[in-house]
Amino acid sequence: MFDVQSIRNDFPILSTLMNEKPLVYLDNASTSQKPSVVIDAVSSFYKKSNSNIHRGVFKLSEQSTEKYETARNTMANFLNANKREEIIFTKGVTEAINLIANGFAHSILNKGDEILITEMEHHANIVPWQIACEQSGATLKIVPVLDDGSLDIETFSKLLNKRTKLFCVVHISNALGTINPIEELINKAHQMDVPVLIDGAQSASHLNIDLQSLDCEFFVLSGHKLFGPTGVGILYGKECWLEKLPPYQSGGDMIEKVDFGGTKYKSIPGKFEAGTPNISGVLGLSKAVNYLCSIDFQGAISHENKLLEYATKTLESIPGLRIIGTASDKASIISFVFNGIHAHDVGTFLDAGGIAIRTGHHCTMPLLKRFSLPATARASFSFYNTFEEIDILSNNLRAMKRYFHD
Amino acid sequence: MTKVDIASLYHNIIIDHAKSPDNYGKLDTYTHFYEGHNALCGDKIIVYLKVEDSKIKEMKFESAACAICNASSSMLSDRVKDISIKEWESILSYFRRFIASPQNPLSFNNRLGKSFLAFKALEDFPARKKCALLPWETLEYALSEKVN
Ligand SMILES: Cc1ncc(COP(=O)(O)O)c(C=O)c1O
Repeated sequence: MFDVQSIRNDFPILSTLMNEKPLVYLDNASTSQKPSVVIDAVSSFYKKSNSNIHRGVFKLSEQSTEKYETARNTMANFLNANKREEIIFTKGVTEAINLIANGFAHSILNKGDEILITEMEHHANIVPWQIACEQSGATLKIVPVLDDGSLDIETFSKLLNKRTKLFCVVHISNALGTINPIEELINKAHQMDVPVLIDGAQSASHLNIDLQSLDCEFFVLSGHKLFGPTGVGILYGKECWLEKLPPYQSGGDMIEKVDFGGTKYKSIPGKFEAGTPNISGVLGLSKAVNYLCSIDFQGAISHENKLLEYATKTLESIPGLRIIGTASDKASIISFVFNGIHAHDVGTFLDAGGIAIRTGHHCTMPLLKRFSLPATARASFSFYNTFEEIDILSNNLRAMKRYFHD
Repeated sequence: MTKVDIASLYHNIIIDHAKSPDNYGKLDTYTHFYEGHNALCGDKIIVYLKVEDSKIKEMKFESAACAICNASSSMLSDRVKDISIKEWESILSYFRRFIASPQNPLSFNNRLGKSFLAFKALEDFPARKKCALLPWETLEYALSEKVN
């Protein structure tokens, strides 16, 4: 049974005060809060187990190595990857996409090739591809977004062609909450032999991910949005693709043998994990995933859906408030604007009431341009949020309107 | 975290300027202009200037920005009317010093103009300081980019 009150007790920050008011944390799409088990796992590593991995012959180091590699198994199981070696630890989505884009620029792309992305991508899934295209002479093609914030699938089908070397798409839009029909998109791409990269930054915390059934070539996520620490994330790639891509960073830990006559790289995953990794972060992320498996995650998802429904109804009833992104399939992320009150002022006003939301372009400037907006306010909910918090949000927004005489 | 006073930030002077800003729009003829952005939040402001004989004759602006930025732009446009470039340089440095520590009485120079004291509350809203600074920095850029 999913019980939001007992879940809240697992997250110490949720009982703190902000500006003398109970913290109402509605910026989960930026980063999620961490349960005690994750915080404890990180601090316990430094208190009791700190040592480097893949190096020492002493027991402490062997234990660290084992924990680190067990975390890889945990992540592979959580995402249902085919092989544990297909899980690469990175510092997050940004690094994971840069790794892939760098590999494509150097080993796959040629002049005349195309990379297909969408208008609703996060800058992390735009800029690396702009650079890869610049370096290789390939062209960046963009799938447009419709007025309701869903993808224009018809145009997508037309844009796919023999020159398309990769299709990159966000699973859940961080700015609008749109859940993209990735099964259908992957299918269509595969019919044209186009590999697919899914940006799962937002989706891993809201949906069950089954990589074998999705069958995408790449899937990336950030630990800090999945109740884990910052500075750790996952790059999943099908074995054949990871074999094909060149190393991204190089140095210690990624080599089999270094010789001035020629250096031999490790096989995957080691090839992509140069240098001492974020060991405590990896252990914390693995704890976060264990935590998700220990709660009623199905119940959590259904609670989030009810929050979305209630928040949409409540916010829509505020005069002058307009929700941006009204696709039929949405996660618990709501972007909104007011006539006459800038999102930045909304954010500061709510902050004084203890409510944390995000304001701005959400690192999706092309998407906001598509809607002719400089900025939106965004409330994003996690399973530990409550209906009362939505009421507090709505009461503060109404008070703000009175305040600005709007 | 202590309580912040939202009313002190959205001082009446600021609300009034933000709601009906002075000198909003485009100058018919201008010698300088610049489009300034706040990359963090997407705020945008365009400053138009008419400069003659080392004097700012007039400033107008267009914006898609928050109340703090709009109020700062409006008050700035009033303040720089008919002043020498030299005086502009002084008030820019006064404003920067003031915004750096708004509650410190020593950081405020009266020659800036009393109305700018409305921004004192930025002390408690450090994230919003750049909103107030954006029009000033944009004007500075505008002066270095002459219209050809
Ligand atoms: C959809 C999406 N992609 C990519 C990112 C970048 O993630 P990170 O900053 O953790 O690398 C984010 C985070 O805001 C996101 O929401």
